[in-house]
Amino acid sequence: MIRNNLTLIQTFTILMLGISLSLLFVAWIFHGEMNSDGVVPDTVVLSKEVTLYRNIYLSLGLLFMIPALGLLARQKWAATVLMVIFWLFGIGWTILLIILLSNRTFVNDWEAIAILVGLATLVYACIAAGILYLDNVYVMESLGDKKRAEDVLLDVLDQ
Amino acid sequence: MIQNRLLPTHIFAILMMGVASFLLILAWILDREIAQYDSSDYDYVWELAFRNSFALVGTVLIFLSVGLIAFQKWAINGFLLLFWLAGIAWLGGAYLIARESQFERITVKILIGSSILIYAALTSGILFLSNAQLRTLFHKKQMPEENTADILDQL
Repeated sequence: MIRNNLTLIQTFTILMLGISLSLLFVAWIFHGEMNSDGVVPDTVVLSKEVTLYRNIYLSLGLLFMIPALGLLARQKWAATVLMVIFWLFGIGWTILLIILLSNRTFVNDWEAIAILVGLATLVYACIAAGILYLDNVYVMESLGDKKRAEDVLLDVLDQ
Repeated sequence: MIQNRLLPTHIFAILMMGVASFLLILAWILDREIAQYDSSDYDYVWELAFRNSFALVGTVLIFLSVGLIAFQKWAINGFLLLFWLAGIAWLGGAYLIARESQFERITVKILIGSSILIYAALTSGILFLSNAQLRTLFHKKQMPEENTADILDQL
């Protein structure tokens, strides 16, 4: 079977770049929908709501793009930034869950609860996998972290 | 900083189990919706197809994830096959959706955005599982008995 010689961090970077590109693409879609025709002919009206969504997606896209490019350049700060982003997403998602579950009309709708539980499982699995992956000894080795190699050497010398 | 010594395939299995749980919950929701329909009504064919697909893919993902945690080589090949099939299936599905909407501009744009995300995930999944460094690590953990035997022979 064909095997590639990419580092483990590079495969992760491909995923992060894909996520950021899709977010930037959504921002571009909102940008296209931003200018709607006004009541007066030959005038355009800027939709505040669409502008806000465009800015949110643009910021999120750049938030993932910059550390992903940093990882490609083997910068350690990029891994730290991505970990902070994952933690913040985790905390933000938990707060959102608490707010939604404290809503009485929402609690009575079993379908909404089931979708929320499914989404929560997916989001927490993604966040946990991201944090564990960026904090892994084997993965960080490819980023130039020689901690594991040094550990092994000390063990041998002790013997 | 404290670093974990989990094998990257185990972290991947955690992610896949999350995806599988999500798909199984979606299948369960669709199952509850289908139960509300009249049996003579044929309008729920798509819901039936999606329920079965989600349930099948979710079960296969759980099965393969357990195999990956148990250091089974077939689990890696199973995941690779599943990712290739998902890529081909999405291509067909996206074309069908675009044709259904008569290639409406906004639908095509949304499909392109989703395709970037899906193909990035599938590509990184395939590259991750066929990575030489990962395969070496996986093989070392898979055969600990052989290494012990070598050491005992030397003594």
